[in-house]
Amino acid sequence: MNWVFYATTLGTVFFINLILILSVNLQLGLLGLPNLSFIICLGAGAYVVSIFSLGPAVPGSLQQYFFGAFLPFPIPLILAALVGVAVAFIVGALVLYRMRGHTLAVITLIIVLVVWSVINGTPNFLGGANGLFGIPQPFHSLAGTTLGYGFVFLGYVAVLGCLCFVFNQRFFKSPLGRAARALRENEQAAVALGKDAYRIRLIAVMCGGAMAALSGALLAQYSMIWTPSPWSLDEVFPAIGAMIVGGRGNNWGAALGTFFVSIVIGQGIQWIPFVSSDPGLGSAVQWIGEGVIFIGFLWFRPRGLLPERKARWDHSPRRVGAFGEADGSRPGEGVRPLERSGLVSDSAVSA
Amino acid sequence: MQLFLQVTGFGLVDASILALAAVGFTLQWGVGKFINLAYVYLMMLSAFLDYTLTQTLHLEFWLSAALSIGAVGLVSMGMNHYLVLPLARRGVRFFDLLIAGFGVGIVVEFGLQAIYGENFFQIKVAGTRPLKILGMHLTPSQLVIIGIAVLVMVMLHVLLTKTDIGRAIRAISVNPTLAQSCGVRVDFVLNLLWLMSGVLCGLSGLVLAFDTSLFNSGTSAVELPFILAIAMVGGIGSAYGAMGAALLIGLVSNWVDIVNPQYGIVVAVFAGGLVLLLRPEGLFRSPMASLAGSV
Repeated sequence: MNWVFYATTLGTVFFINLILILSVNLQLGLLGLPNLSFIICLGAGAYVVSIFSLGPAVPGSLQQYFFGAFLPFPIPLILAALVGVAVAFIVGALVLYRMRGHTLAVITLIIVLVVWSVINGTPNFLGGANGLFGIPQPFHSLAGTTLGYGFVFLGYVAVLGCLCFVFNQRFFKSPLGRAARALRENEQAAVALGKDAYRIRLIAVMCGGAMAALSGALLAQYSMIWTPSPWSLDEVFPAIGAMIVGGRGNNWGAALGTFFVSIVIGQGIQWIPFVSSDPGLGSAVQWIGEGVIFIGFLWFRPRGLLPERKARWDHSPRRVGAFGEADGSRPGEGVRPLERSGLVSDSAVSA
Repeated sequence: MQLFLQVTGFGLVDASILALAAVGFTLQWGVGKFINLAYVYLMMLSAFLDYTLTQTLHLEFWLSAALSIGAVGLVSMGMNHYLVLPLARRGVRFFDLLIAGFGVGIVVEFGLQAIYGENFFQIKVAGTRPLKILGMHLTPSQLVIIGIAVLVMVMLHVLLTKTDIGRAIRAISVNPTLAQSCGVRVDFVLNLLWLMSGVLCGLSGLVLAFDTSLFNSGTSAVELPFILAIAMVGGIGSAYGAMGAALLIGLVSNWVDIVNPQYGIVVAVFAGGLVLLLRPEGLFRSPMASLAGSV
């Protein structure tokens, strides 16, 4: 009984983290876009789902927020995703047009710090540093016991997590996803072929924002409280690290990295004898483990556990070639296309 | 008015600490092309080393301060030599280096927490009775901090402009390839630069620990936004810009703190963002400010 409940908890945490890391994978993995503002979308999604399911703030009570409503279940979640898209659109429209690499990372870092500090420091706006609590959980009528509800919630996040996974897979394989990958590999070539770099980046960032917001909304519903600390700057880099461990640009890698970082490290620490007896030491050792693992992966296996597959080209001889040759041979066969020459992988983020 | 003057005094102390920290940080960013997220955590390393040396081993004040600052310098140089340069040679790109720096940072922060626990510590310094100067109540130790900052800035100016090593650093900042082909040993100079910025980092961490009465392993993490903002307002890689920006941001954020103590950080960081958007070379144009931010 106890073990089963533990397993449902771990599964829920896994799927919630998976959605966030899929969002990171879409932006940083597929497009090579070091956009750190996904964490604001996560916070926004959580706050939206909270205030739209908590009802109006009671005057004089401990938690104060500027607006509240009482909407039935799926609407707050949908609103959260939409607000995530809107936040991502605002940030993206502001910075994506002229920022790359270093500057994009730093400017989004700054946006995160500004938004976080304002919300943290304004008590009546969204609860301030106290946060919001008592956030209602959906589907409570389906299960009576705590264990039963654990299974219900696990199913709920698993369905959403799998939907996000399928969405990401389809996105990666779609023409838009292929254009995005081309943009990462060689921006000038992609632009010369008529791809609108700004539009592709903005779409990817908005989809990523929706997923991050969904992840935040689920996290708020799961933990029933929402404070500024789960979406602070400290949470940005572990998410990116999980993607690096798993393998950037590969959704199965993202899933594996999520499993590895949030479950294996987080829970494996508890089995070390001298750590398990001291709760304060446990979290410290967990952070140290994450740091060591990020550095180790960058050193020994920078492409992650499951590296991104290279684009494959159809060489079947019966097809009419892309350039009109009946036998399918390319003009200048032997000159390897840019995507296969190996010099193209992470160059979009180069310093 | 009295409050304003007093806050100005605190702003000057803050500016001194921030200037010490930010100059090393901005040089690493501009010259080494590396945003060192571990920097703020290494600051606390020197404070804890000093705490151990003075409280447990009962060494003399100045000796233990020098030892702990030097140790942080060596750690910083080792980080460059054994981690950052090899990773860069393996083709790990900018953003992944950021993650590597963050990894080192959390290992340092939580390593300290695992060793010392989450309690707060205090290093006792002499000279805590406030003196009244120009309407500001400042303790002698705070005055010493301001003095140290000014002294170090002057020494840094001499180092950067009058010595060969300073000229080499400036050359690498402008164009590393050209500098190498002119006979500058880039890796060696970068190691020296990291040693220097590590010393600045250790000094600022120690001074921060003296100034805040209580510290633990996470105390200096709140300085990261300020240091980033100073580096951007001053122009990435510009030591003089960082000095000016530290004064500006230290004073302004303390004044804003009168209104709401949470908003000082917002104003500082917002200023950094605006400068990066509108004037990426920084407020103070200087020959050392390389456009490291624009790829």
